[in-house]
Amino acid sequence: MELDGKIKEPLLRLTQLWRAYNATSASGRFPFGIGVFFFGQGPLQSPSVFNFFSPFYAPPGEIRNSSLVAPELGIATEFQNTMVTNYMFYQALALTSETPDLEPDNVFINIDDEMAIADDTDALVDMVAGKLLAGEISQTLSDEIKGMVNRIDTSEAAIRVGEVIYFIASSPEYAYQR
Amino acid sequence: MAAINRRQFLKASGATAAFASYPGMAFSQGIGTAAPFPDYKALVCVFMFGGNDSFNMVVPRSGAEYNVYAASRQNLAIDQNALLAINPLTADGVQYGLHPSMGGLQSLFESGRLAVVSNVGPLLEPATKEQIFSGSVALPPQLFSHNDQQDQWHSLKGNLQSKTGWAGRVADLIRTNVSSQQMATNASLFGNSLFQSADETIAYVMGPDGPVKFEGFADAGILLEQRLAFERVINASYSSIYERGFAEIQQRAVAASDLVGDAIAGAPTLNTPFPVSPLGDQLRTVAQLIAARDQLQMQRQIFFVAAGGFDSHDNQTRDQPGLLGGISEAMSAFYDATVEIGAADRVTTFTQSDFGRTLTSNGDGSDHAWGGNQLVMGDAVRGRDMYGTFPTLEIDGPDDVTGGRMIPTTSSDQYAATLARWFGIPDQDLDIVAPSIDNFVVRDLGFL
Repeated sequence: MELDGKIKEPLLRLTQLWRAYNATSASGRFPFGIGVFFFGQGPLQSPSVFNFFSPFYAPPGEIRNSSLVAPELGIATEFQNTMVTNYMFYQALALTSETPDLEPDNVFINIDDEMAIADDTDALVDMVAGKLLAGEISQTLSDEIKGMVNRIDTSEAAIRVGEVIYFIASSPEYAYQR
Repeated sequence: MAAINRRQFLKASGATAAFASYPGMAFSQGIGTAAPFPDYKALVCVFMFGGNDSFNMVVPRSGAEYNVYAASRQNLAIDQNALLAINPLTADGVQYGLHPSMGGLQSLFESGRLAVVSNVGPLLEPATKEQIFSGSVALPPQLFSHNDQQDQWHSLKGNLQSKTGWAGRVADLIRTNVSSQQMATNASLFGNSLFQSADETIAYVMGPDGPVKFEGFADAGILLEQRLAFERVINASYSSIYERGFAEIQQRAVAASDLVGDAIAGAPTLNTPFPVSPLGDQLRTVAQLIAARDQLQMQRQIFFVAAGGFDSHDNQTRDQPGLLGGISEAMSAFYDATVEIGAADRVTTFTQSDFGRTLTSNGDGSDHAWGGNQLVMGDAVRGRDMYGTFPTLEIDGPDDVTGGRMIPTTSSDQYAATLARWFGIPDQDLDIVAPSIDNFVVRDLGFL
């Protein structure tokens, strides 16, 4: 368990979210000019024939000391992780089916299921964890999300939903592929 | 909640104490046992990804040598009259010039702020053509290959199975001298690099414009609650080694985004104009960080910046003026900025690249080779001079290993060791920085 799995590369963290939430845009296009800017990678946008990260990359610390490699962490820098985290914030809170005045090319996620139960914090966390974490959410993450969501009035349903998606999609356990 | 200062709040809540105690987290990277340095110094590595055709960057312009150059380079040759003359203090009987697009760096050379190091490349020991053909000399693995030779320049590892870079090893060696620094010695504005990878210290990677702020975090109210909840999530204990690795990066990102961002914001504003380019942006940010050195209590810094596009197999004569002009404009702006902030004698900027390129033309460009020329800039540099030995630019000549690929006459280890010694690494530790240095008679090339 401790040494199994890997960290998902940034684009896969996004596409998993998009698939789970039937992401689309009004124009039907998925423009991805922002890809490299936020994610450090994008379709057909590798800077060289060597792709986005080295298969030999081992971050300093216990991973390298265990003679393991973690290629995907080669682009999970402080900068790029912040950019991905910020993108998840925008996606969850400002690029959803509840967002007014979207541009035709804005890719938005559909949160209709969550909106229907948005005033029930426990059910809401269970639903998003079911879609993004196969239902296996840690106690810490669950407690912290519920603490935040319970501070938000039930009249702000889209924000309650967005908070749950943001916290899970930017969490270490979501980034981890078991 | 009253709008109190975030730092006071975090301190009161114990959050900063939790950060400081987390392994690998603190940016003060050592337990202070060694004496702090009495001064500030910075090394700035400008890496040209793809392999710079540097025998068009520094070119012999006197008649006989130019004719040899032009015969080898064919349609890639720079016009003799267009070369920008440089006049090195130490004459070797040949006149030289810089590429016509490099006016800024020509001026810095002539005013003594820039030096050329000729025909540098990865070597394990001095190598002649005869020794290479008879197999009697050890050579670095996978010559002429981009990723392998980038790794050689970054790590100087030769045939060793090493995961550390030479800047990383420098940072490890001095970590107890710089224990009061609030930021890591190594900082990159161009992603992770093997160059800065270390065993004991961790490089900080920011964006080309510096650290970015986390959206949805604020100093007070619910967005402060959000920040604290986010921090508790990334500070939780995780059962997977990879989750922990990811969480540690997030911890450093949250901590540094304010620390470094606030320091840049509080530093004097720079007036020096920079070219609008990726390298110009990176070097402007480096200058701002150097201007903030006192706020961050920095004594030693190594910055990694880079430009891409140098793999000129095609369209070389079209693209090279923009590539080399871009280097010249960004580097000379950066020099001016270090003058503005009073640190020109404290900051040494140097170039590296995958490899030099073939003297021969493929019809439209040049291909992967070995040795190449590098530039070193700053007031600490013994400028207006050329170091090492400029090779004979002759196809099948004494310096050509085949196909117009120059056998390096100076090793990357000697180049790095010279920079590391200036930075404060004692002679007996140079072999940790540059593992092959003991195989070379000259341990200090003298340009600093």
